[in-house]
Amino acid sequence: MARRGDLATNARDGAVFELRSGQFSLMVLAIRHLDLLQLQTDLTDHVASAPSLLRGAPVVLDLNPLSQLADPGLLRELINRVEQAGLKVLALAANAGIEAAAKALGLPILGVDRKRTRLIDAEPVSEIEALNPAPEPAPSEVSGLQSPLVLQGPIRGGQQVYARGRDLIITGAVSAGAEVAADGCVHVYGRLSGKALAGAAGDLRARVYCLSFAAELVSIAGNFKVFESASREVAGKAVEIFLDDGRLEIRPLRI
Amino acid sequence: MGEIIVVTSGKGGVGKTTTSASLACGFAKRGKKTVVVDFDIGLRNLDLIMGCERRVVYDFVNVINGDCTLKQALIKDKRFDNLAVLAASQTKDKDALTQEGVAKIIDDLKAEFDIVICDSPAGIERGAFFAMYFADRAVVVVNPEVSSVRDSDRVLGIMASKSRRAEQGLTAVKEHLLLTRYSADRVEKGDMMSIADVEEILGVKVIGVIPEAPEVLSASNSGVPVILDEQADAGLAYTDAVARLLGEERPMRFVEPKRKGFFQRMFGG
Repeated sequence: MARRGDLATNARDGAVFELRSGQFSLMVLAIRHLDLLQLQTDLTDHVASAPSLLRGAPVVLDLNPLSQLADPGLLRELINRVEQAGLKVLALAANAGIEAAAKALGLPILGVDRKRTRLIDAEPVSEIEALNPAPEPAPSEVSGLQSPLVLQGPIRGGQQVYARGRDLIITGAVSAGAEVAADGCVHVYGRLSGKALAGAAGDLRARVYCLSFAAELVSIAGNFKVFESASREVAGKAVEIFLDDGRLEIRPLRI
Repeated sequence: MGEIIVVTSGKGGVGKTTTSASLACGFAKRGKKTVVVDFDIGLRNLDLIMGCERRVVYDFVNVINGDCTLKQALIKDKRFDNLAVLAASQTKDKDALTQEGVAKIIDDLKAEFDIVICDSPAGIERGAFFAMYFADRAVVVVNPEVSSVRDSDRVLGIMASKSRRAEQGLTAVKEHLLLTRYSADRVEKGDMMSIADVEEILGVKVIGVIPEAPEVLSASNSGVPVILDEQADAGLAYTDAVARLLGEERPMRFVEPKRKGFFQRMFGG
């Protein structure tokens, strides 16, 4: 009989662990100027305005314009304030002169391509009126992979669905006036007549797919486009929507 | 146990009460023990369309408040022994409805009748919510125009997420569309949405198409539901809809433009 400890090991080859590469989309909290009190109040309000999106969310702290924060004491205080406001500081963005402070606080330094980040200021979808109570994402067999939120459509006008930290798959139509959003990709196996938001937490590589395009609005990582009427090339077609150098591209799917 | 059918739409003036009255008479005529309940508390109308307005003594809110028994409040129809009407209150407002009160009435009616038709008020507030909350089936009345279709979409969404069946995780409320005030001529001219357009947008099948006709208004005014007028296209269309709701197959009638004869074309019809 196997002892409990044995279960943790990989049954196939006996290795205790395996290393996998993973890619994650993270929010970057850029501090513009040093006013700790103001920061804490404003940030607390901001988190309260979109709790489902922000509460407990991991962030990378970017101190780019604040060279004086190389002082570990001040930095510790700043991180305290951010965490009291409800965010979790995961790492520091790479900046000149920050290594010593990061080491003192035991935080890793991450390289951030500032050209590829974008401002998150759009009203996040905080109210979720899913058709059925959406189950929490089940931990998948493959580590680090979140199972998508799968809903049977139609998603009707006035309903909002948000798949946090994963893809959203809708079998059926999305009516005019409905909003479907995901941190990952949005797939609609039916007519998309409402609003679709992919990469809601800022993932620029997220995409939107639908079988018949008639959307009111499509947004990818905050880059959105309103369609008063879709062009003939894509109206009613199966399309793929993605960001090409910051511009929203809609392309008929060749199947 | 009886079946609860809500007649709803979201938008006002599309023909919910006319439909409730006609379906109720149609089911009764087919031998089903039927009751039709007016949920439009404060703005009751069903009693007028059913032609029993002078016999309303007790109403829905009286039953909830315990002023009378349910039996006392049920008004027996003069045309069909197996048909009853429960009127809405004219003096109270929708806040008089409580979840327990409505649930008790619905359960008692369900035990007594084969079919319970709930005539929903317009809108998506309390009265409309209670009318649809207990439903097994829904007949969504929709006119072939964009605002009615949008409101119906919203109502279908609320039903799918907030009805008792949705809350208890039972099979979903069975949805049907009933297209009213339909004019085949205007559809052909492109002025009006077609059956296929409405079905495609809402993703629900049409169970009946009631043509726009003057008989509908005169029937309402005289308190005789139009389904009882066997000369009227609208009446026959309701009879077909009842048959389809009972699971029978009937071809759709009155959905093609009327071909005018030579003289009509020459001298106007």
